[in-house]
Amino acid sequence: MNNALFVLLFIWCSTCTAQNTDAPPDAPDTPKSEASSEALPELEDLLHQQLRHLPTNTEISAASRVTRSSSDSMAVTHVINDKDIKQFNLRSVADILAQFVGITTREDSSFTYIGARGIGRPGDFNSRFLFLLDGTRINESLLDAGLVGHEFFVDVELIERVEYTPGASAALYGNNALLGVINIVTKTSSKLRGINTSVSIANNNAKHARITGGMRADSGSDSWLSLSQTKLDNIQYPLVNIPPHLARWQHLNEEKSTRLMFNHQHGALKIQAAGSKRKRHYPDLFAFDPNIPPLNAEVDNEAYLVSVAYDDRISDDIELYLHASTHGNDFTRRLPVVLQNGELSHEQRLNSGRWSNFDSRLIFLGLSDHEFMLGFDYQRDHRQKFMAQYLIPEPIKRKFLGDESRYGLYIQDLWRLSDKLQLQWALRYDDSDSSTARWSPSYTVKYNWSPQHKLLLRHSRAFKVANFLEHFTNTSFGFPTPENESTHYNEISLLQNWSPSLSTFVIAYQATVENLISQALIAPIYANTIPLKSKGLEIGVDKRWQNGISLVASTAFQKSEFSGGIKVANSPQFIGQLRFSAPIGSSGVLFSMNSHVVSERRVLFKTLPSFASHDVNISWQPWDNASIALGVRNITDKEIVEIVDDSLIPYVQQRRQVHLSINWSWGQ
Amino acid sequence: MIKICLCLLLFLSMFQTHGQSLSENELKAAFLYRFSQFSKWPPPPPNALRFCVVGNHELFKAVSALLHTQNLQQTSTAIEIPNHDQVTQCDVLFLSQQNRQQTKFWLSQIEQSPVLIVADTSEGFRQGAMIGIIADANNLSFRVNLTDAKRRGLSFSAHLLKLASEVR
Repeated sequence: MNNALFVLLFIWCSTCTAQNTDAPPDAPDTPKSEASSEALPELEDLLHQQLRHLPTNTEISAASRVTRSSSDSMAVTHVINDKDIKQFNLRSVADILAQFVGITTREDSSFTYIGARGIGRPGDFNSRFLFLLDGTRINESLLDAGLVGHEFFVDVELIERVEYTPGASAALYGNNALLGVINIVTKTSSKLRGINTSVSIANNNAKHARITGGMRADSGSDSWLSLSQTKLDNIQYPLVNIPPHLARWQHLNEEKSTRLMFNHQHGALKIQAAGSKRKRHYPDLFAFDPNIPPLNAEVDNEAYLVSVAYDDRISDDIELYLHASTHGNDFTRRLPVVLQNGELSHEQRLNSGRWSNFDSRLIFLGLSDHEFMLGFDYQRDHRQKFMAQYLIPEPIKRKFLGDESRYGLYIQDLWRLSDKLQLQWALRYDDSDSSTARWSPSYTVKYNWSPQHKLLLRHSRAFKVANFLEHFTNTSFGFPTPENESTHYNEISLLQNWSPSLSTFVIAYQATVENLISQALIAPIYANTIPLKSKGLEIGVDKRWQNGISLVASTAFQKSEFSGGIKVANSPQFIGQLRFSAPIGSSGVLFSMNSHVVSERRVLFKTLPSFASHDVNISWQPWDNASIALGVRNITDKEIVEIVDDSLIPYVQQRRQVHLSINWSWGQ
Repeated sequence: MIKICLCLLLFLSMFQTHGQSLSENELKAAFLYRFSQFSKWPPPPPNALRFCVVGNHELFKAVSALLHTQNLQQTSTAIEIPNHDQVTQCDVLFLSQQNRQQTKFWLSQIEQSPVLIVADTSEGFRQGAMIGIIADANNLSFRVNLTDAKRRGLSFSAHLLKLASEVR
């Protein structure tokens, strides 16, 4: 079946190429006589015109903390935009991240885990990625976790684009930016004006609904408010070979998540507030008696964020950015227990975090050929709380409390040595109450031997401080807190635009990770491992044809080993990704397909088989204010098995799923 | 069954219409002209508009061709500016593919002049352009900086502000 799909795709691409050989070459930008005879489109129509070539420049901000043109960027950044999200029917941030070169995702139906560059530690809650929402750091404060599933507080339909800058970036961002920086940029009211609604259903009983209202005042200020809910009923147990007597209670396995988000921008001032509540029930099968219905276990996750940012040019030479935000994240798990007197009670575990961030930076252009950036980040963890209440064998309550301050001071200079040669260096100093101070440098040289071809050489470092969980776990068992994990990272990248419709990238990297923080095998604590070396090659191509057909393909070859040649868990040596889309006729119907291939990977003593998974979507926009999308995920219904933690339980990933979604707007 | 559906879709998609679309520079030229229509200069308004282009010869050609095809040669002129002394003669200035330092250099001659400045990089927009044309992988959109426009005595129609992706 997989072979058949690729053969079809190959024939199709060949046909398209053949069709286009008669078309004029990509290069000329001179107006055509046909265009000349046409009336000039109105401004609204210009905004809807599809670019038939790859754009000269897009805008990205994850690589350098300020918005820059892609051609001027000093690091490779991959982007998935709102059109891709819609076209490929991506339903969560995890789905979006899975489109990026070298990234793999795994889920156990409670949490989605991400791996990249050969590192996907079992039990790590994505703390080796730095997650930003419109530039605001959003890793939660207890586990430094990156939430990318239904618990994330932004509905994917509100996302303008997601940027991924792979590699170590501590010189700008500090803690957690080891494997990459992921910046999620939300839409403005230009795309959410009036009332915008969407409804989607899937054959696995997943339902999603969203309503968004947006407006722009005459003064230019922008506001929008969005409410959405996702409901999953009768969730299939993600386990292999479920016994029928357990499967009959599957209808008790359900989840509901609600998200509310508000965005307001007036001039240089932006206010954002977002909150999410996820409630999950599942039958507690550990206390299972086949003769009576199992009791429900409950998982609640609540998260919020309120942020204010000011971003403006205050003189010809100086730009100023000021940002303050406050965050909260509560995770509660309640397991039912029937006491000896027959009374129902619950064992409970609570993780609760409250923290605030203050960030500021100045860009100074006063020195010719230099762009200086000076910044200060501060985070205050007001509350770090772990509480566990057990009833069996006897009632016991454990509580761990903490509060902490962390700060970082950084400087970056982009020095344009000539039209072809640029050097960027950065240095950051980080310190916190619970760890030793760190210096993180970074150097990048860029050589453009022509405007279409550039070479980047980069060396940087990154670190991860033991988080609150790792800290208190070790402390409570009388073990020292793990040392800071550190990465020395080297990268060489070649970015080439062969024609206005064809671009490629090749990235070779090598990283040495020292003191990797990992769950110990012989005790319930965290320990630093022996050094780990990771190296790899990532290759990608982006091709667009004149008739609207688009092909984006990437491959990642990677090898990660501990000293002595010991294999690293969850580290596939090959990952391939492909996204293909083509308009069908001229009626606004678009066919898209994306495929993932992942080679086999080891987790402790198990080897997980390689797999190829394909998703197919058809979207139709019959009117300007309405669109319909029908998609099939994992169309071949491949059983994909992943291991997410040291329990070695194999979790079955999403089987075939059919989605239908409808989007409608009024008053745009 | 799945194979049949896929074959059908692929077969259908081979019958595509090759609809006429504009190149990126043609689109930018069209945006530029539309921006000038939705802008108001302080009195006395210019009798004829001089469209200056910096840093992109193909864009200059696209602007020239657009003025020609729209029969606007009598009231508008396209000029390609080689050095920054000549920016004082512009009514509309398009800074193409310029970084922060380059934008600052070009604008140094026209600090308070009523010139409609358009840039196609986020750096150019942040460094003083009143309108920034920003591309994503599929489309172009634009942003407006009202503060800089007011400082130069220009104003924009409500329609332009409504369609902008961001107004600062």
